Amino acid sequence: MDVIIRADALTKGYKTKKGEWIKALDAVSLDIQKGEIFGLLGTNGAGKTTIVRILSTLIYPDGGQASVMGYNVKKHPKEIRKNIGVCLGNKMVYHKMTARDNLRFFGKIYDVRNLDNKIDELAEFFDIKDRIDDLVENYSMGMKTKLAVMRAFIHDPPIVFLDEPTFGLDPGTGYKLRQRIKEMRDKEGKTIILCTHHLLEAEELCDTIAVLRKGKTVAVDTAEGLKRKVDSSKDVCIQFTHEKDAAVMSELFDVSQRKEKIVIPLSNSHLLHVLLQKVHEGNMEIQDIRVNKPTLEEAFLKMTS
Amino acid sequence: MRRAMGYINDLSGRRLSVLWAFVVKDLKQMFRFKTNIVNFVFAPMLTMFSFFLVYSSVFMQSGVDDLGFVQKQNYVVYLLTGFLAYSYFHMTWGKTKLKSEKMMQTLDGILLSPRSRLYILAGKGVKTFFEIIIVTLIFIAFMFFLTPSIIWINLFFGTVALMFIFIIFISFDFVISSIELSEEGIAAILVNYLPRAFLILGAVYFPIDIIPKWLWWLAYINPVYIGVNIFRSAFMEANIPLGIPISLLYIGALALLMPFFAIYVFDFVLKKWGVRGY
Repeated sequence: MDVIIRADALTKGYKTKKGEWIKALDAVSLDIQKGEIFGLLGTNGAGKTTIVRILSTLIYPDGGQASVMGYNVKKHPKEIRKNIGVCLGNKMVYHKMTARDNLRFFGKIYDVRNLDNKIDELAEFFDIKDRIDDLVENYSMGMKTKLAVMRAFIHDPPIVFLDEPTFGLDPGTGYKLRQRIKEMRDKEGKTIILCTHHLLEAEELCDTIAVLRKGKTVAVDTAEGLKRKVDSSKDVCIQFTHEKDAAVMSELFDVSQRKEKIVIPLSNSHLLHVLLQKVHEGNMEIQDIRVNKPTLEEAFLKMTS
Repeated sequence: MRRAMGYINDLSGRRLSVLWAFVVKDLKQMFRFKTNIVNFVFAPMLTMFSFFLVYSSVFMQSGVDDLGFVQKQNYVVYLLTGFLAYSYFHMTWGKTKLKSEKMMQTLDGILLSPRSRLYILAGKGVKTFFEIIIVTLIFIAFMFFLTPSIIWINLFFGTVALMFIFIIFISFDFVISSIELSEEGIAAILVNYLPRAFLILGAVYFPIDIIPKWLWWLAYINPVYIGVNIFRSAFMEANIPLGIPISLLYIGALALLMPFFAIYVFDFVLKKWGVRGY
């Protein structure tokens, strides 16, 4: 795959009121492949939005280089702007105008053809067709988010930056949006950069995830890769029907017990084998067996703490 | 120069529809606040009314016949032309409103598009032009009935001069509005004091004859002073030190340069200081 976005040692800082210099980004390097969904995860203030603002040419980096589709963000911002769509939360829309007027305005400044059809299509998809001619100031937070996402999609750009796109959306629309994002990657070959705090969403959508902490990249990998990096061990949780059986097994094999459940490490396959034999011999009833894998949340918390 | 040509190229051709989109966007927002329309006529009227009271008491009760170019028989015309210039200031100053676009982050939305920054200024300018043209036409119609002899050629030049002033004002406002994106404190000082200097040294409320002589040269280079006096010359005797053609050339050149200067400041603020205070 081709690298479509490249950031090399990006640095960005700002001065606080006390005159201290704070690094929002500290030598961040990223390679984003064409046609992938790239996730940016990090705690508040980790630098996710700053990266998006630099790559979308809204601000300039203090140091380092960045290019989008081969165009340098400092030297050729106009070329980049033609090819990107950006949604930064639920803002970037005029509250004193209707949703249709907002989309018309932003569509026109991008020279979108068949604009009215495009607006109707988006309104249908995002389920706001009946409210499209209402003033945005009367919209709920979720509806404003929908409109902000529609605004980012209006000119059908090959690269889309989405910052918390499902924040405030109802579950149904959130699901539809996630499906749409996948479709954009799989059918239209678009590249999507997704900033989110929603780790399940990141796991479901992202091909590659960068974890940021205090302006630095902690790790860049797939969701599975990130989980492996933190902890490769897995546990097996066996739930008995009766608590007394769990207590017997816990004492016999010296494993942890909580009510009807016992937990044993999956790496010790011999122990598991013997334990299951004892269960069989003792005529014990097992209700559930589950393999506990480390989650992306655990990986994220370990990396960012 | 190359940059200026780039801006002009970007505004030309079918992209006029893009410019129109900017104008419609601002007009639609303006009409959401119906009181705006009342405000842009009545606020200047109230300010100028206090000057009518002062002048009428000076001329009617103190026995004074003239204050420089303002004379007993023409002070109403003098103040009415001043009122028009003051309306121009009132309608343009603080109207580019980049701060509210900053707070809504709609400015980011526009900056993310491949459009030149000149569209933002041009859009806001054309919207304000609609307001100004309404006031100007009402004013000229009113003067037509009030003044028996109008020098039509001077009225034409005067109207052109006022349009130049409008472009200078809206560009100046854009400069301050741009500074406000990053340095609200500095912008607040500029927005409060700069226009007063323009108006006080612009012979809007009173003739410069009554201010210290060493300030006169500031008035002579003040585009407001020049523009308002060219306009005034259509209805009464007015002081135009350089004559109408050279004065028009001077403020015309300023009107041509100011929008590019405004965009330059806007770009400078974004690049060097960045947008602050979301």
